[in-house]
Amino acid sequence: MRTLLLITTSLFLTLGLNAKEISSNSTVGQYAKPGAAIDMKYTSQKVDANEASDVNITLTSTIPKGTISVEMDLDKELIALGGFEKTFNFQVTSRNEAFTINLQVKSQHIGLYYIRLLSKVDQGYGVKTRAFAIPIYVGEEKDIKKHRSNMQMKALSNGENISLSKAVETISIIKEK
Amino acid sequence: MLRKLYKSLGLTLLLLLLSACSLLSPFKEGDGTKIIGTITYDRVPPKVGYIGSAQLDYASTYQESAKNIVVKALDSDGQVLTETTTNNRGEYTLYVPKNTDVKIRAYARMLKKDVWDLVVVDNTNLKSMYVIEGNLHNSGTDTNKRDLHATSGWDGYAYSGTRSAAPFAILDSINTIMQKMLSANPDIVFPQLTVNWSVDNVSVGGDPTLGQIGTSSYTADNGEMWILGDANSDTDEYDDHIIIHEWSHFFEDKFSRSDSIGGMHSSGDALDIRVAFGEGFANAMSAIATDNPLYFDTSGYNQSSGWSMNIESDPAQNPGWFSEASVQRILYDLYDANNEGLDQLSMGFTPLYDVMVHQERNSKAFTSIFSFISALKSQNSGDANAIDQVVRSEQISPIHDAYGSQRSNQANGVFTTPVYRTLQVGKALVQCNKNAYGVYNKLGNRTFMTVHINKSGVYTFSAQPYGASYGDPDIVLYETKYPYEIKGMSPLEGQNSDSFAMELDKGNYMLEAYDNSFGNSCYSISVRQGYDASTVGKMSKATNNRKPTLNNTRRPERRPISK
Repeated sequence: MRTLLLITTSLFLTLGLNAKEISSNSTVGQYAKPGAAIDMKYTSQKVDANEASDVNITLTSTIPKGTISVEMDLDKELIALGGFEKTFNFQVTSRNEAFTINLQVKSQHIGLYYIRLLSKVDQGYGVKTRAFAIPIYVGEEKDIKKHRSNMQMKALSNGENISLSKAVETISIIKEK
Repeated sequence: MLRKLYKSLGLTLLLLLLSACSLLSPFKEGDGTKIIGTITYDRVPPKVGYIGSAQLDYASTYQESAKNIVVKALDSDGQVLTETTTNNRGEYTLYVPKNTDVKIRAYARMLKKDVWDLVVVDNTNLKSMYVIEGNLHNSGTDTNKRDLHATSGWDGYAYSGTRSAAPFAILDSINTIMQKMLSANPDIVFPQLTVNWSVDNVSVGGDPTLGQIGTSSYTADNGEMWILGDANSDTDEYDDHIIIHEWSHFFEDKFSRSDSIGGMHSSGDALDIRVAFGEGFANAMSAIATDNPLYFDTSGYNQSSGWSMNIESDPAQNPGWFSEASVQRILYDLYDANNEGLDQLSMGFTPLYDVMVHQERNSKAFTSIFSFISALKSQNSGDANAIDQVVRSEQISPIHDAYGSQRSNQANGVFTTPVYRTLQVGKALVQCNKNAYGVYNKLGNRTFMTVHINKSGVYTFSAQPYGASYGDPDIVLYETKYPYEIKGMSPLEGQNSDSFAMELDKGNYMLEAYDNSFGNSCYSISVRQGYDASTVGKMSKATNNRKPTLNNTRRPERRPISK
């Protein structure tokens, strides 16, 4: 009995350790700038380098009928596994119909990468678009933030924090007459 | 010895004092070398197609002046010698010490004492303020002309350089709308505003320090704007109508009032009246401020796959009092000088501004086309008939009050009028929610009820299932005075009935009821004086103690939550 308990416990522990943390979000009920009436929700697994992340994307629209076309793009550091479709066309037959896109991606390098969608809706009143991004976290959060660190910020002695860029400067001297 | 030491110390102190004074006192004309110049940035205009497309037209990029921004002169140690702001042509004048190494720095900050103060910062870089600067050059004795220019970073094919023009483009768009506001009220004082922009700002919500800002927006809880900058997906720094749209939500928040609950929306949608007015108002403001009804939003690869709409003349799609497109057409027609069809009125901006900052702010009903138009008519009674005509062009019968009484347009039979019902103490009414036009913020998702409390005391509000279709009802009570705060809210999640009790003063209140599962469902809504024992088990201990039970996790957002 004790052996069985130990085996079961270690199995659960192993499963628990291997369970991948999920990143998820939804635009439903969130503020949106004007554009195509499309909501998006997603789940993506947080993974290590060279490990596949399952990504599930669901799009819904309030249009009663028409077409939703989607162009998908990956950050160049992301590799799609099992083929990659760049475009999707969904025929809408009723309001709030859900359309799903499932894919697997991986990266060889630690970092935060994105799958980007540009969705378009045309109901005969002109095209409207809406962009979405789905984050793929590769590696531990602290490593990702360190990896992304691109601090150009300068803390000045007068308390100002600035992000500095060189200007194109044109100089001339005006001689007094 | 001591005397010598005192003398020496005194001299040192005097020198230090003189040195400090010279730093604190900027040079004036005649004291030093004059530096003049102009600050400019690359403005990338849109190319808008006849079929509603829009893209950034990099080939037509031009130099635009950076107006009203902070400019400083710094020495070789990086110490600020003097500072000023540019004028409306981007020009500045500074006086610096003669024959001194000096560089000029321009800040993404518009500053005018007691009028405005807004900055553009990098939310992915410790909120650091964007600046551009020139090199150290000796000031000499003759006047220097030092022009600084911020570039777009576009190399003809892609963004390969630093996009230093973007923060200045954002400020310039905001300057446009602020000038329009000043034309209506020269004494207006704008609250400080921080605008967050980064090339890493992407279209997903999450951690804003990583750029996950969701969308371009204004968030009321921290009073900041967030602008997308994700190249080849969605950038908004040159989309002036987007910038002005979001700033208009800042205006609503700080000067007027918006009861909008946010959520996805589009011009063809039948929306919650609060959302329709808020979004339609912001769209109209983008056209009014720029005097250009062509609204555009560029996106996609090379910012070449965006869309546009004509605020004034696009064909109406499902028009009515629930349509943001109808709201924007009405407001723009009331404003503009171009009269056509039923639009025979050109009021200009001031009457619209006045209603927004006074009557709309203090409306006893929710903010909507009804509250706005009824106030506009009462404030401009001579134009009432002409206003009715403009409103009628959007299939909206004349508006007589802030509650939208006497509606004839029922959104293709989907919505059952009246817009507001009256809930009497001791009685119940049946309300049915519908999701025919979508969920969360669409027409029919929520029911509004006015409640009059004759006598101060404890009152119990409840929602009970009615008929066979029911979901998860929520009821929310508002105070009907500015800022229209939520007074109480039912606490339960996932239950088919809900209630709350609380002490209320005599007066008028507004009740909102909705199905949180957004199904097609019906409920019996009631209010009774006193604590209602029939709802025991549906209320928390706190309610028994006559305190309102609030569940903020389910609270409808008046504006988006912070990131």
